[in-house]
Amino acid sequence: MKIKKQKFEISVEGSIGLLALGDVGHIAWLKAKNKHIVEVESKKSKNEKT
Amino acid sequence: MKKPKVLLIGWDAADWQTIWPCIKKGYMPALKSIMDRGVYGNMATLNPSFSPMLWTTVATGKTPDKHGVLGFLEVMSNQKGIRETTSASRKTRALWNIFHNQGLKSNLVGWWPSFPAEPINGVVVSDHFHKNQKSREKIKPLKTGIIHPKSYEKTLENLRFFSDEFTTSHLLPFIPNAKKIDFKNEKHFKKFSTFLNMLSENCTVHNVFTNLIRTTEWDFTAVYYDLIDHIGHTFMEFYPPKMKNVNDLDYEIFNQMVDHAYRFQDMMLARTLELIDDDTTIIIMSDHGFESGAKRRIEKVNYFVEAALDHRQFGMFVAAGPNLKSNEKVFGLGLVDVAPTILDIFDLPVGEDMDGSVATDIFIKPKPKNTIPSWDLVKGDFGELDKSMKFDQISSQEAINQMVELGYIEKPSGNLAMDIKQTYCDKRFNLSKVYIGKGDLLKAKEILLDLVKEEHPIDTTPYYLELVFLSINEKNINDSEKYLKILKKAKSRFSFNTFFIEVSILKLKGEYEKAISLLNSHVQKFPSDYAYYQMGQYYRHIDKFPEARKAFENAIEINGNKAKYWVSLGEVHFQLEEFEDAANEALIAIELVRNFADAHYLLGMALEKLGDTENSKTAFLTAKYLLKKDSKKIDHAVENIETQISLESKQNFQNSPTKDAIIVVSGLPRSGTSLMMQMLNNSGCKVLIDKERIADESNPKGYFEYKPVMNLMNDNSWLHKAKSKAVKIVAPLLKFLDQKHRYKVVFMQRDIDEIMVSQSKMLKRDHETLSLSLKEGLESILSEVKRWENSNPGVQILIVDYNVLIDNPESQIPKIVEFLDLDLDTAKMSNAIDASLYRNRLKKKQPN
Repeated sequence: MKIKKQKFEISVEGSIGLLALGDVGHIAWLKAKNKHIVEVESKKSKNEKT
Repeated sequence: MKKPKVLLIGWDAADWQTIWPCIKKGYMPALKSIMDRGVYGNMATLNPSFSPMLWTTVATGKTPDKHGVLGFLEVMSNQKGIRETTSASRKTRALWNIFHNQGLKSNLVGWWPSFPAEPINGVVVSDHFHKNQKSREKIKPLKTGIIHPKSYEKTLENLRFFSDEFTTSHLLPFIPNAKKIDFKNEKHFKKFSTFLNMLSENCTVHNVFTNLIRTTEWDFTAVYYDLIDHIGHTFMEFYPPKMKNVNDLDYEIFNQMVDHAYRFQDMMLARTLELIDDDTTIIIMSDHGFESGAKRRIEKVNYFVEAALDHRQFGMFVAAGPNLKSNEKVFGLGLVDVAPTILDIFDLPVGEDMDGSVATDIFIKPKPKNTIPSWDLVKGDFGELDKSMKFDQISSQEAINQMVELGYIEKPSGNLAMDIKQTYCDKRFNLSKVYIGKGDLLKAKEILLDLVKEEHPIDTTPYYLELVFLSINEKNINDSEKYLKILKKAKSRFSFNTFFIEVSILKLKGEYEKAISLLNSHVQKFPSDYAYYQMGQYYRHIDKFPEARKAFENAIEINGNKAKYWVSLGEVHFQLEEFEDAANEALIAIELVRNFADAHYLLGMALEKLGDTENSKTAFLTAKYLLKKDSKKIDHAVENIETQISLESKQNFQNSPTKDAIIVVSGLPRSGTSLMMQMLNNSGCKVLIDKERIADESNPKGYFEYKPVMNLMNDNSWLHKAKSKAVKIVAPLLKFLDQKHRYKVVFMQRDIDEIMVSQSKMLKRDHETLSLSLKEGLESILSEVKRWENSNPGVQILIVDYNVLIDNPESQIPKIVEFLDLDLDTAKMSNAIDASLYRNRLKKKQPN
């Protein structure tokens, strides 16, 4: 099931539109959020190494 | 033909009064699209309007006395505590059990109550799954019974939304002025955190629901959302227009909350529509409405049905699908009708023990009636709980706390024995109210009389309040006054007012003027539709019709949604012979409550007077159908209309409905009734008399009376003996005649002053001084008779002027014979008149 990207932007912040989409919107948002967390963590650890 | 598929969506507390403005603003396009291709209307709730009871009625087609779910809490089977009501409390099969037995697959999400999940063919995600989700970090393993089958636990757990996960992007659409929230302000903080909980729970339900309808095969899915109800209980006070006691800042922050809850619910519905096909029947409904107008409560009051004070009698219903009508408003739906209607869609029989029936009006082609005695009597696998299983843990103290917060229940005291006792009493009390709603007042009274025996700390005030209303209903003045006295002395923790009780007791005692005066002073300070309605009823009773009309109009001005107000106004217009107004008001009442038998009856009466006999007949037949019990009154009305139609079409009718009518000779005492009886007796008409009262100076030719008539108000069982005979019944007793018979009344009219002189002479009183109040009393009896005739289609009255009869019998006798439609000897009738006995003629009345 594809999310209509023109209608719902999948951002870390999420949106009411994504909430209304139900499971698909929720999973997409969780993925985006988790990806963001991983990116932030790796950026942090990179910074710490350098 | 495709296999039927039904999706049932529950929106707790959704109300048309809030939905229509949202539709106008373009906030609810998904719901509007379903209405355009389907049917919509009101959904009548039950009393008490407590959601677990109501949603179980939706799922079973039965009232709570039969399904057994009687409140929010229940006592554990081991008597060691209280818990939320569970599916184990239900003692009858629900739709999903029946579908399981029939090899159909069901999904059930969040239904209240559905924990423990029943082992049906399909997936059950019980109401305990989405409750109290504060944080993903604090997640606890799922307990047994929350999800069936267990294999779905892992997938569905990932779909939970936690209240600490919301971002400003999620929340700003609901609270655009969120930056003004002062988190140090306890009220702001509490409202905001409550909102986060509600929203997270709703999102979890929606996530699970969309997942299941997307990924499973199903025939029936039911999902329950409580966002609208919870938002209502928490934020309706801030809904526009601003109420005068609401703080400006609070209003600015929270005023859009209700609208946006509906808007969000509609967005979720739009997504749902993307996931189902056009062959699925979709039903969206609520269990009760929610007050959003002037009656909104700002301050919580300490009242024993706190939450129910916000509920309105009518919720909403929208449905679309194959064989459903398009863009049509439907009427008369009740919660009990939902399960039978869904069974019908699946071509399954309806249980005869169900309280509802198939809503045939919603279908293009209704199916023939298909019933079985009871689904509970069918043997086989119904996917039910193993009764030996124990689910006695208190599942969620926080869930109970939430119910306290929303005003659904009182805070448990913490004293276990006391909480168990209170829960037991609450359930019994709710059961008594269910019986009251079903009209089984005896059963209700039995429970209440038992409950008032409870001792402190159980507060018996609510039980006495119901008892006093029952006693008023029974017209039992002694008990009403006894319970009122107890209530006035009661030291209750609940707020209550005995004003309307006192007014009702005055009415019972016949002290209408006093009751009106009390109501009048009440409405000066607190104008209320109910008070005006009561006033109207009382004015009507004392024949002050213009005043009654004004009172009903005032009630309607405050609340125009009560069908009974419109019917009462219409009945007054009917009495005032303003038949067109009466018909219009009946139609408005029918628009509000289509199955209101009284409104259809009034419409029939008004149309008959307006000469529209065909439509009048339809209205009477509809009233008869809706009443669902025998009503001779309506039968007589229909017969009258049929006779009129036959006369209009010049057809001969062989069986005149009045051929075995009871001939009643009536009038005020001393108005010539004995004379008329004698005339009829002479003419060959059969008379029902006895020899108890012998002739005397006042009536030298005899009284022609029948002794049981004197006791007519207590015993009218002998009336069948009077069929096709004439019997003398004085005017004040006419109202006690049983409506199951037809009556032809020859009503003797005589100058009231003459009657009074004659009565005084007979009683050997001073007939020179006529009492004004006696005169008024006699006149009031005459108008009561007129009212009796107007409201009883089985009654035909011929007025015979005594004075004219004596002076010119030839002008009156043919009229009497024609009216009675009997073969009578007119000469012998005439011979009975002896003008010499006309001894109390007043000079002013002497013929020229």
